[in-house]
Amino acid sequence: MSKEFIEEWYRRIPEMERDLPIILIDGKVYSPREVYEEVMKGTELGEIMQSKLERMASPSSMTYEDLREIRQVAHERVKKILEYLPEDFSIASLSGKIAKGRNGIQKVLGESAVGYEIERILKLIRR
Amino acid sequence: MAKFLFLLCEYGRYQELKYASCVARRIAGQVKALGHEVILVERPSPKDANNAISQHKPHVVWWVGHGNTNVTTLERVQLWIRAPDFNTKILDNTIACALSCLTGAYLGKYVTEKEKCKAYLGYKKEFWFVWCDDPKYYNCACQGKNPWGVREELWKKMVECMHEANLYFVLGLAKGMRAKNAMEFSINRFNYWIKYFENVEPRDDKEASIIRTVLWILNMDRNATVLHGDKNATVPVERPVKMALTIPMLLLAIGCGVSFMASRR
Repeated sequence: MSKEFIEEWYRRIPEMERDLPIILIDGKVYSPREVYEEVMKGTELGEIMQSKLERMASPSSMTYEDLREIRQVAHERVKKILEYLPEDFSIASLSGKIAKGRNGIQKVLGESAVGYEIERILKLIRR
Repeated sequence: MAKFLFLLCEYGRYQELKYASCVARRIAGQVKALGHEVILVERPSPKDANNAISQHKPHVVWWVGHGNTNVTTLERVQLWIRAPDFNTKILDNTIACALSCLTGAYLGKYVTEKEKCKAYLGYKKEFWFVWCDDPKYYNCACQGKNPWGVREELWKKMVECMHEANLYFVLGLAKGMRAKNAMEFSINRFNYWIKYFENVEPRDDKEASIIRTVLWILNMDRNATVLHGDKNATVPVERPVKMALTIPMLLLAIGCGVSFMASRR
């Protein structure tokens, strides 16, 4: 395993994605920035992160457990993104509904948002 | 050339339908520039819409209005079509583009299978869009002004993109595409906007959060798109004369004329 792999991977992650959760280790989510810092410091956690990311970068070595974890990470991403949404922000639908604030928007876009974030995580891991 | 009819509703419960209609006006201009006849009906009641369709016999009908699986409405949520028993023949012999929630789940199927609507693009789930919360922040459709401090040029794109992607179906037809290719054209426009917003560098966390919400909506609306009826339906389009063939033919004709005149002297 080389640090260059993570350096190169991190360099290609857009700035707006660097602090969003990307990986789950022992029930805790970590962002690309945290992964990068741990790997650069050469910690044991960094090694575990790197080994997991390298394995998941190949679709053929992705396990069912990985996919389950990615879904959990996607949920965490949605939560984190919504934290910064203005409380009076709302969206409208052409069935006459209005979804207001974080909870309202999460309720109507939740599944679609999680689906989008799963795709996004897979793209970022495989960059 | 074909006739395109746009039913430009503005008021549903608030002015929420204006967000789509102002984009439709811009796309109507592009359709006209392609040489088609464009008919705009402003804030139509069901009667206005029916009269315009009877009078002009359009090839394509676009509208925005609140809807449900078997119902679509026009200005002020007035019932326009309900399957299976109300005004279902009005779209006969047309290609329909319905910016109306959920009608792709049943109404579109009904009018193409039981009536004579040629093709129907709609949405099998709810169609969501970004707006300014009209009751609080009045009238910011198709403008950059917004109460959340999002950069104006960016906000304008946010409020327009979903509606524009839908209207690309109409633009695709105007360019001579078959219905299935025009639907792809619409889907690709959703993809264009998804890629665009994925590459915007947000100014702060708040803007990043709003950009992400737009991405989730684009993803949801794109995936809800459905086309019923004849996938190969088209509208009459005047093909441009192929200059590559015309010029040699013209030179040949001039050459023949000159040699004929010379032979007569």
